[in-house]
Amino acid sequence: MKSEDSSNKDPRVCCFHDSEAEAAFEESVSALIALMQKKSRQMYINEENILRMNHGQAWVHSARDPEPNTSMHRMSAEWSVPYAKIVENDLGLIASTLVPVKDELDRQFASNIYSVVGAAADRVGNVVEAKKAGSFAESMLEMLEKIELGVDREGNVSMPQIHAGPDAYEKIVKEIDNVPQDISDRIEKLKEKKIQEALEREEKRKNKFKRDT
Amino acid sequence: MLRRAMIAMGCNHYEHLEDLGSAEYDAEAIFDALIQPQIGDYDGLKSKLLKSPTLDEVRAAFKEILFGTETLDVLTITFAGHGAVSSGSFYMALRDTDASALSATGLSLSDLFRMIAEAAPKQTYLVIDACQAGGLVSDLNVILKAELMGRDGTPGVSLLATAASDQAAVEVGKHGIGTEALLKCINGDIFLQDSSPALDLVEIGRAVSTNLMEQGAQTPTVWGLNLYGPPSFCKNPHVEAGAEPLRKILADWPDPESRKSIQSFLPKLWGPYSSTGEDFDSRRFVELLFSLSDELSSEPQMLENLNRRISESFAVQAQQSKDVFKPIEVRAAAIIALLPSAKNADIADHIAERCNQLADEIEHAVEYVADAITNYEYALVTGGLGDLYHLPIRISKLLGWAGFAAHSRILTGTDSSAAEESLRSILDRILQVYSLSLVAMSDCQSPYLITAITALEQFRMRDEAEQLLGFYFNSVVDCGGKVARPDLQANKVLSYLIARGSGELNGKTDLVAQPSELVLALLRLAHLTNLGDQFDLSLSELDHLPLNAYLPDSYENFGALQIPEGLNAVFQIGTDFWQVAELEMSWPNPPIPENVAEALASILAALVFPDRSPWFLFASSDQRGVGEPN
Repeated sequence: MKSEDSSNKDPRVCCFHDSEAEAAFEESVSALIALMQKKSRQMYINEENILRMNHGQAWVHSARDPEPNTSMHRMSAEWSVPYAKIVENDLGLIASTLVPVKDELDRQFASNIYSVVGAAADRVGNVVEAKKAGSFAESMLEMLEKIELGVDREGNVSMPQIHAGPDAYEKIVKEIDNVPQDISDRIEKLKEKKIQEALEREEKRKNKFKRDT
Repeated sequence: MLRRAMIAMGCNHYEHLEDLGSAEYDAEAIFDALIQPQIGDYDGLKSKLLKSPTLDEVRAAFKEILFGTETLDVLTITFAGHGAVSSGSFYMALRDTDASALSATGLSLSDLFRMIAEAAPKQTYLVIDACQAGGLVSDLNVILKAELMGRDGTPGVSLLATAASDQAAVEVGKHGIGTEALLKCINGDIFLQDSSPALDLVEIGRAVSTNLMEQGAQTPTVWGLNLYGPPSFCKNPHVEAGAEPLRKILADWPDPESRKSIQSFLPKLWGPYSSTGEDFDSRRFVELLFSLSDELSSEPQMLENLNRRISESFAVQAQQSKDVFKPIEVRAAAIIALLPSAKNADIADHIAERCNQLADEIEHAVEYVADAITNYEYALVTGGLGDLYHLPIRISKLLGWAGFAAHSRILTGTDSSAAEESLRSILDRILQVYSLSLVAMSDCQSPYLITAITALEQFRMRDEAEQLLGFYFNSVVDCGGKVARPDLQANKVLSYLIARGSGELNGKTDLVAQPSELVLALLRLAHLTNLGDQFDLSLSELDHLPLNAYLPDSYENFGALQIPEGLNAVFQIGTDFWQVAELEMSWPNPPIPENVAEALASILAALVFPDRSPWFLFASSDQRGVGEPN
């Protein structure tokens, strides 16, 4: 029993510890990770659309049509710091520790984003399968037909973004060059139509506000 | 003549609780010892021994003794028996105490403190040897919040409780082991000190704590401040004073004027006292004690007594911290507060004695750390990335404090072999395991390295000094001399490390020391150890680097937050000098401390407040850093 106790005892010694300074350092590490995460997030989401909640883990848009229940996704990453590297005073340890943490958080964030967008698209049927559509060009046309364009706070119509992995990206770039002219014309026409529809929807939305007549 | 009274209570017999075997013996033994004129000299007519009393009997005794015709100077209350904590309050259980109605039938600590505050004896000593006695700490916090102890005119109270809240008081043979240890201190079987004719309960408590913890039996609580008078709990058996009654050999209580100063000072002290532990603020503590030194500057004897008692009380409180150097920093801070009076011969002797006691403690702490590293090589690592910055600083602090112990021994002409051994032992471990953490990280390392390396030089440990300097200087060259500023905010440390790691420190004036005192210290230390020629070869890599040394006119204000007098000796590499020897030739000839005490207290000031350095330690070895021998 005695030997168990002694083996469990922390063999480190506390001398000249400044717990406040150490806590402040840990906070600055968290702030740095948060900053790196913010930069990564900006690749996916406009900052205007970021909402910050202080309490709770779920939300509801009760003024809208019922939506699937969503909840916050927790992201976490673990890191370990070898004591030997600390003792060697290897300042490269900061990058070699924090960059993998950032990458892991980015990966989880992207995964969460795509799974939420994917679920929402599934629910409203906004899913296009390239094989069923017949060709890449046809699938682009079908995709454009299915989506509604949004209008930002300045009244500009937001065009859709395409997110793709590196392999798919290369393919898409090649396919775009080979879109037949007739489909390209149809896409342009549809785009005009969608833009017009978006502006009309926006005007209708704004007209719902009471105005001083 | 001092008015001294005691109430000793021991409760063996209980109507509603289990009987005990030795509580009455404990009370009787303490009473019998302290009542003797040559030991405690408590007034037999004003003192009472209560064996297994009821609550009413205890209250009647308190009424008679505390609220009699005369105000007491010293009141000692001892209790042995059952104790209990209920709703955050501590109760002493008496013969008729019912555990289910403690507030109505037990003697609560809060009530006791209220009585003490109302009767206002100048100093009260409380000794409690009971189950859950340590639990009274929570009650003490309530008492402090109620500001009972923080008002002007409230008495000094010291308390020793000899069982932790979750521990049962252990009885061995005739006495509880807490009482046994206390009696050993009173009788002289446990040595405390041989410098003062009387003992204070806080210093007894510290020895009892050590004794009981060595036996692995109980974790005592020692708490309190005695500000008003000299140590007065009992006579010190290790100071030869014949068979004189204690009251005759005790120094007088302060005169009314001084007492007024102390009374106004007491409320300011309780706050820092209760937060001493993990949160000791050395600057706040020293500033408080400076104000006391101003008030008592004409009464050096009283100043040193009071300073010592405050130091002792705070240091005992600091033992709550896991940091082995916390009590050392507390004691050092108290010594720094005496710097303005260090030219007074009595105070100078007192400082020198206290510095050597501190050196004892440092030698033990340094050996403890060295052993910890031997048992586990990463013993100094806390584990976070912050250690990349803090570990090099901690290591230089360890070396600096070990260096202080050496200087204290050498300057006072006492045996320095233990200091040399502890310095050698910690340096060996550091060079074996932590050599790559011997990094010049922050300008605040300057006083530690000056103190450590000048001590190595005194001990002729030239090889070790050269190795240390080699590591530190290489790290200076690696970062272009851009070490962190000494007051770098903790939340900017990461920015500094990232910039230093990526070689992007240029222009980061908010992070970097400019000018640097540390780089100047390393160059001067190189000269001291004959490494100047080697360092010269790398000086071009530090071209344009500004350096500085703050040199005071005199050392009496060397512990102040900002020292108005003195000058800054500024040098620029590549403009003012190109070789270390040229720097040495242009070094000004600043004043040095006037005596050993001033030198030692100034080194402590630099170790506790590292934005200043003890440059006088470079003075030639025949001067040994001081103007005159002490």
